[in-house]
Parts: sequence; C-alpha cells; structure tokens
Amino acid sequence: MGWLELFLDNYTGIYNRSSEAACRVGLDLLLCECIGALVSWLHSSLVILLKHKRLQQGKVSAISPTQPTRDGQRTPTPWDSVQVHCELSFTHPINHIPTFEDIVVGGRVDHGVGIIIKSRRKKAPNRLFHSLLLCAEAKFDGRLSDALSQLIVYLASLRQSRVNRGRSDTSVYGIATDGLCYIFVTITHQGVIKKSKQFDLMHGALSTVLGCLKYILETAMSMTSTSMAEKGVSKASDELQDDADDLFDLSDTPYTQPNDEEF
Amino acid sequence: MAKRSRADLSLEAINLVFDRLFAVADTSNAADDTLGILKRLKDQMLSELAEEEVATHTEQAKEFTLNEAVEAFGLTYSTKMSDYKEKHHWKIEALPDVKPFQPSECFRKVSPWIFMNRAMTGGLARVISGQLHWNLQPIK
Repeated sequence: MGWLELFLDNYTGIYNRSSEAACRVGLDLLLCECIGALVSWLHSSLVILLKHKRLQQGKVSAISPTQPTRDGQRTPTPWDSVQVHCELSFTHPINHIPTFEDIVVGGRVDHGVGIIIKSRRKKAPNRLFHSLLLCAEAKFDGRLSDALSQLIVYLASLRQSRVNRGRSDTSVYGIATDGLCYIFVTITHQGVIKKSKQFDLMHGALSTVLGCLKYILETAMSMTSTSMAEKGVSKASDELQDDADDLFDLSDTPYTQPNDEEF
Repeated sequence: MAKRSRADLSLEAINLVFDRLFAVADTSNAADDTLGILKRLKDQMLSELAEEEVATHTEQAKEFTLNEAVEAFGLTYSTKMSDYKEKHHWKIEALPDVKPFQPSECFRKVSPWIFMNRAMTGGLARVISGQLHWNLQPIK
C-alpha cells in the first residue's frame, strides 16, 4: 500500500469529515503562528530598545530583562496574557428593541481570542474574559454564509454589551472561516457591518490572511484601556476588570460539565 | 449530542439538594413540620425556575439569519451593490497598517503540507469512496 493510500485510509477512517474539528486545524495553526509571532516580536523589540537605551546610558547588561533569568522569570508583555479559548460559553439578553425584548441569545463561540482577567469583584466569576477577536467556523460541508450570520450575532452581542457599559470604542472584530477560506468582519462603533472579500489559502492568500489577522489583533489590543507593558500584568489586570466582557462564561465548558450520558 | 441547558442543570441541582435534605430529615427524625417546609421550599424554587424560563426565551446564535441579526441588534447593513461597496465592503488587505506577514520557517514547512493535503484528501476521498461503491455494486 502506497503512502497516499495509507494516509487516505487512516484519514477517512479516523476523521468525521462533517465535524468542525477538521476545519479547526487550519485556523488553529494560523492563530498560533500569528500570536506566537506577536509575542516574540514584542520581546525582541523590547530587547533591542532596552539594549539601545543602556548603551546610551553607558550601562551594559549581561541578561536582557525580557529574556528569562535562571529562575525562569522575565518582564511580562501584554501578549503573554492573550489566550485562545475554544467553545466559549456565551449568553446575552437583547433588551433595546421592543420586538426582541426578553430574548436571550446563547451559544458557544468556536474560538475566542482574548485576555483573561482575574476578578476581585464580589458576586463575579474568578476569571473574566476581555475579547480581542471572535471566530465562527463553517463545517466542512457547510456554507461560510451560515458561519457569517452566527458570527454577526456574537459580534453584535459583544458590541451591544460594550455600548451598555458606556465604552468609548465599541468596535468588534471577527473571522468566519472553514479553515481554508477566511472572511474578516468588523462592526464599527456606529453599528455598521463591514466585511472583507473571501480570502482562500489555496489561492496564495496565506500571507495576506496572516497580515490581516495580525492587524486585527493589534488594533483590538490597542483598544484596551491600559498598557500592561508599562504597568505589569497584575496591576493592569485590576484596572482592566471594567473592560471585561460579562457575556462570556469561562467556567461553563462542556469539558468541566460533561453530559452524564456520554460516559 | 446536545449539551444540557443551564435551566436543566438548575433543575437537577434543586432536585439533588432537596433529595438529600429529605433523606437527612427522614433519618434524623426531624419535627413534622420540617418535611412540610422543605416541600414548600422546593415547590417555590421550581416554580420560580419555570417562571424564569417562560419570561425569557433563549435563542441560539446559529438560528438567526443575517437579516434577523441586523434587525435584532439595530445594525446597519445592506446587500444593495451600491451601498455595499461604499459602506460595507472592508478592504482590510489595502489598509496601510496591514502588511504581508512572513510566516516562520517552521510554519512555512508545515502549512503547505497540511493545507494541500486537506484539500486533496477531501476530493480524493470522495473519488475513492465512489470507486468503492461502484466496485461493490456487481457483488450485490
């Protein structure tokens, strides 16, 4: 049996092609690459900046403050606290349009990229989530337009929640994808939906998709109220509590609350 | 498999707590009115939960169409070509801050293999399954 036949035999036998898992492989790779690059870029930029500053001051340091010391510690950067959460639980009451009053929108966001904030508020979960980017995936045999509608609902809920909390900039960002094709979406502060054309990785759009992804993440990060790089993650986390998006519930996951019937 | 709703979990939690309280009350020879109070409390909690369910209607995000989402959240969107091009088409790739991203060496090596194989296996798997079906037909 040739390698291709063996691969196909395993692949078609093991994977359920109607599941979203197959689609996630592509997106996971891109997010990991992009966030990894942002973290390492910031580290290297800080190293260069600090070296330059020290040279100007006539000081030479053997160990860079941004590189790990012997005990494994280094100065944190804002991107260190960014995480990708899958199947993020989500509920949001629609309460501003009379015909939709008393409707609660629920669901699970396929991928949520954001910052975890440790809460010290009473009657609030210990871990809060500040979203930078939301993603919805189409199934392998599904349509990207269905994922797009779902994504708009998530983004619109997030935006409305930020409007209700009086945020100065309520722009939200997301991606609809099937792992190979990508549509970037934003809802502006004024409530205007804007969507990009469809980028296909099979037609040489990999570099553009990664560039757009990086741009969105950097833009969303710049919207956070304080600079964690200057103040340190723990201090900034306290101040960021007000920026948390309350509609996400990090403790409600299908993995910590499994269905009894599954056992 | 469908995941259980929050209301189902609350219902289960209420039943579990009260079942245990009833069991404790039974074994500890509690006063007669203790069981009555517990029963009334359970009824009250269950009816509050039911009222809450009736008052709020939960709709899954995937059940919305694009037009419904636009209406429900008071957004601005139009599929009219003139409006769309002017207001809703996001030329993100043309923004000055968006620069082509140079993937890392590791990613450059891995990604073509994965993306090519995903597309190829999807197509070829269908061909192969079709051939298998065709081959099996004469046996039937």
